[in-house]
Amino acid sequence: VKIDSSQLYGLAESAYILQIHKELGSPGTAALQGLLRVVQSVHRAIAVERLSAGLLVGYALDPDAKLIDSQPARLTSLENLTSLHDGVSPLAVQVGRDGDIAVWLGAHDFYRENFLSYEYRSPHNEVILSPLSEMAVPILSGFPSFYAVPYFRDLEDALEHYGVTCVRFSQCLHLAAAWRNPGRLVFLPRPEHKMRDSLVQFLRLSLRDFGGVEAMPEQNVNATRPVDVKVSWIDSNRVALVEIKWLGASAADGESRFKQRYFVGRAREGAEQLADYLDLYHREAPNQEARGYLAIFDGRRAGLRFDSEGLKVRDADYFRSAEISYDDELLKRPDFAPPIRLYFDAATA
Amino acid sequence: LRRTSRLEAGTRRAVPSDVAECPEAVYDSLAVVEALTPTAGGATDSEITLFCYLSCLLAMFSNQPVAAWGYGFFATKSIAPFSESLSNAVTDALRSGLIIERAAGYVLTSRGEEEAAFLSSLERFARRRQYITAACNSTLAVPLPRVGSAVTAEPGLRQALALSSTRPLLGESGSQALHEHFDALSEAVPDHADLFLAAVTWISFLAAQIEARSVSADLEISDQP
Repeated sequence: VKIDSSQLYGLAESAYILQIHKELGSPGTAALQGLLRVVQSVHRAIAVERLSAGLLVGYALDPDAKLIDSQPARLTSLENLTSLHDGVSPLAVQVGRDGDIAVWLGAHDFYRENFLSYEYRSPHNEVILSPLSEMAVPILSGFPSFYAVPYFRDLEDALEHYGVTCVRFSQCLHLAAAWRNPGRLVFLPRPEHKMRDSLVQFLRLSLRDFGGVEAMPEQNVNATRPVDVKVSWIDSNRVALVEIKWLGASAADGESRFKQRYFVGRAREGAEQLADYLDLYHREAPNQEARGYLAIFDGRRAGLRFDSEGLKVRDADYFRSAEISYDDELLKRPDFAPPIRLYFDAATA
Repeated sequence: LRRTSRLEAGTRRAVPSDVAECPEAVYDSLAVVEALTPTAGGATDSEITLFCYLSCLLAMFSNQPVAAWGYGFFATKSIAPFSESLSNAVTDALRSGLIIERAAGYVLTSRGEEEAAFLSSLERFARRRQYITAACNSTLAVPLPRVGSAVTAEPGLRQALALSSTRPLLGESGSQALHEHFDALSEAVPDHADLFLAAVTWISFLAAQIEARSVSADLEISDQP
């Protein structure tokens, strides 16, 4: 297959790292690596959810660049930001070439001429600022910040984190688009595709161990029985089969009735289906160590009508802690991971 | 000084004797563990191999002969890339207490840090340091797992994985397709630019190709009745 060099060229031209190189040369590229290292450290120290008032990070472009001396807190380690940040104020961090760290809580503007900066403004809205220009950072739909992607070696840990950070408040762009209304009461028809795409993307970006962890959509166990997601590890014979089921109601825009409503029985059907998939897979691929995962995307609401615009808090939250019981025989299977319920909170007014 | 000259003569044994069979593999594995720890909390076996493989590719992009890399890479039926030298280096670094395994992967011990700093100071490894740094620093601009999957889309590795057979990777000078990638990359990034720029550009391109292939596969599935 011949390479499409125009695609590569276009990709390079549109990337902020080449723009910085063109503007600032090799010192700019070196400063960018320093800046991104600091940005990742800040994101490790503070969860993105605590940065809703914004984050500005400046990295000195030359050794003479002076940090702004307007009563900052001085830190020796970025890890200390965890306790320093109040989670409410805008946060500004400036790092000198000698490693000096200055921190301000509250709105702050840097002089741009001697610094390369990064700004987190809101989920999916980040920029790199050079002395002359502002460059957009690419968007990862499942993650509010490009530089705050958590990494996992264990699939169950990844699924648990996915539930808390992506599903609960539908922060992933795929999941946000799965709802018919902003209140997150009723799905649009066939939300399973968006759920699958969201999960696949999350796993592709956060599951570690080489490129060998593949999250592939709609792998076939055989020609007629698809499983939603298959994760394989290239350096071992382990395979994870992930079956997705959603609970709640769906309706098309403008329709005056629900298209589908799924309750707890749907989750149990999914468990039976997954067990069947596993049996089939073990027969067809006996040399692979397959394990099944049932992911239940739970958007159930109590007291819901197709035209509900809002619900009482008690109804909206009714199923938040409503865990689902399954057939004990299934749960005892060594190849059957404990099902995971990924609960969607309704939006509050 | 005495340590340096003994290693450069190929006889130094700062680590157990079998580790030093391939000093380049020892240096590379420690350097990758050190470089990935701030980003990922450590490095796994497959990440060590993967980032060393990417480093070797960057050396080839910089017109270095693959034969000078110091050790080779293979595709096996189940793993690609694989390097026995790296595998041995990691095993022995563990045994000799230079690295320990944590939940997030291998990290350097204080003795390992000393060893890595010492090896880094040697002229012998000066050139390859820039390739390893560029490969590992790519995770500053691209999520680590995406770097991993992108490298598997490199033409030689992609072909090897498709064939699922045991074979050496990169060969004498790499495949024709690989050199076409390098030619296009040379045009896309300015001369004398930091290798980090070339690494991130190429990885982003390979990742975009994977993305395009998976979208196309999804569309085919969606079209099915």
